[in-house]
Amino acid sequence: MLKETNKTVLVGFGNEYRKDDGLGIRLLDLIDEKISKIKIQELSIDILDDIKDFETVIFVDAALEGEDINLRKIEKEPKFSPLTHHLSPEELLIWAENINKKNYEFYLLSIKGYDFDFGEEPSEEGKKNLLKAKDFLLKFLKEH
Amino acid sequence: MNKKITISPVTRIEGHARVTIFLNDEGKVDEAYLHIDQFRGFEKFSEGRYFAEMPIITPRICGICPVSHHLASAKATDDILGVDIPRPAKLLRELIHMGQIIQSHSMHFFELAGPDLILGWDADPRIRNVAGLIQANPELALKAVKLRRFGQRIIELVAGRRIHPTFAIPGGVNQAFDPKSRDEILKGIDEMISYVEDGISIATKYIEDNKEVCDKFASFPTGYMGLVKDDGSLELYDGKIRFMDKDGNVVKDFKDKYYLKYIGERVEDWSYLKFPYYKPLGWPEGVYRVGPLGRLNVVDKISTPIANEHLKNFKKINDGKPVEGSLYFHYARLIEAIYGLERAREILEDPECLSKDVLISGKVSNEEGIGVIEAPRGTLIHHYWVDEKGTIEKVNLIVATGHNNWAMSKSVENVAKGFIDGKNLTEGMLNRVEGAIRCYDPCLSCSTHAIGKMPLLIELYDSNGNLINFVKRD
Repeated sequence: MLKETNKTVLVGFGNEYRKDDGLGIRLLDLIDEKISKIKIQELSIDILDDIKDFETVIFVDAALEGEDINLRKIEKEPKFSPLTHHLSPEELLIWAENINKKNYEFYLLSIKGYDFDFGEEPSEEGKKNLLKAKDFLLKFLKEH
Repeated sequence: MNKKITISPVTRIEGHARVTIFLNDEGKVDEAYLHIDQFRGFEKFSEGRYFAEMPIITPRICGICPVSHHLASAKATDDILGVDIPRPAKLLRELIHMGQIIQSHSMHFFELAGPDLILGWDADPRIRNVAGLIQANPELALKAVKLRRFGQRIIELVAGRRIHPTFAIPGGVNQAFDPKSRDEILKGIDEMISYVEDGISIATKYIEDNKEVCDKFASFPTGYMGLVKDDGSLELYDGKIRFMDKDGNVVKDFKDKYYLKYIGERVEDWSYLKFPYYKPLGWPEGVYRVGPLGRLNVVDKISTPIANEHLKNFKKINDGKPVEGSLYFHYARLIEAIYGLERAREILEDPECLSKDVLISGKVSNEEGIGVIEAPRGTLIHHYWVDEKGTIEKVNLIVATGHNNWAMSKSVENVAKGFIDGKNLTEGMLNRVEGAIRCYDPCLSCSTHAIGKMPLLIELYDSNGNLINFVKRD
């Protein structure tokens, strides 16, 4: 049984047409529990409205490097995005707290991907990490 | 031996750019290049698909301007059917396009250009960002968010969803518009125009205070290209393609279906992205710029009153000749945001926007279909070849970032030569080089953005090729 899931939202982002880049979105499809989910391609300030009623936001994204899965708490950190509209979760936390006038707990669950070429199927290694991420996330949601 | 400064990616996943700056023995910039390691894999990925799927597939090229790809693609599929879609459908497609223009242009100015213009090019990078902007001017930041929301809300109300809409289909759109939604959008337009006017005040004040910088920063002659209406006014959804030479002469207005006759693409071995040019003038005389600066240079007027008044001021910058300084992109972008809001109002006040006549049926009638639209960043071309069943055999996409490829590289070189001192390199100098690219609002990292991707890595090598300094951009 999940606790306080009405205050928690999962935000998966990525591009499902770029194989493992879509792992973050695909994970949300594997979570059957009654929990709010948002799927997006890019992280931008558009979701400020969508998350305004929640207290905990768990972002899920593919990662190029690092462990198979990794969860870390997001701290506010301005990262200048020199060329793109894409925001980091660290920047988004600054926007969210200033615009929505409340404190949040942001987490980032990263799932290591291996193949980011064009295609709708994740790589075999990516699929394995996806299942690990599912188990990890469900456990985290129950304990958190 | 020359020194080399490289601003490079760690991988070659689509979306990375790399800047290489060569220094001479005196530490001055000799040459500079912008390398865009962007694969055009989406064209291959689309082969074998049914043509009607394309308006749903192609928006995944970009998470920021999916509506532009959605609409250019839908226009190409109309062409395959050989149909002229009903006017209400055109109005509704144009309306979501205006939503896209409003949100994209506004956010670029406030989020990306704003920190440089408001906080200063040499400001501490720890505060020269959105957090610094929020701290310096929280009201402005809130307005930026509201503008972005407003543009996205238009898309959501008209198309049913703001991310990857499935609204435009071959032959029209899949749902009519309702009066309540119309009224909701209409109610907010005046307030949004006032917010963009605040941005224009910031931009014009910056120009007034820094006229010399604006006139010199990444300033060089090129041709310009953009869509215009028959009367030469600004057009973002339809119209004919206008090419203007570097002296401001309109060289040609041509129908979009003839783009291959007029636009060539040169390949350079140092960039994966091709370099489009105007064929009749050849390479490199035919290089040109698109996007807000290109569009406002090629148009004679704007059909909406407030934006047209701003255009008159814009045209005065270089006494009616083309405006060459790349920083003026930011000013042009805001004028277009005003146009987007005014044009949205015109559409909403047109009774036909509520008509249920939004779709015409048809069958595969043409082996090719071409759809051209002015995306926020410039002219976007979708060209599909199909078999008799409508299966995609070949795709050609020319995106705005491609049209501006040569100009962005030239801008990097221009600014590097003007500001880089290899013996005394500062973060502010490198920020100006990045700022030159930012003017064009390129679409470099839209398609993938996994954690660990590093848009820019700036490296400084000594004359023996040893790495002596670097700056990372996450």
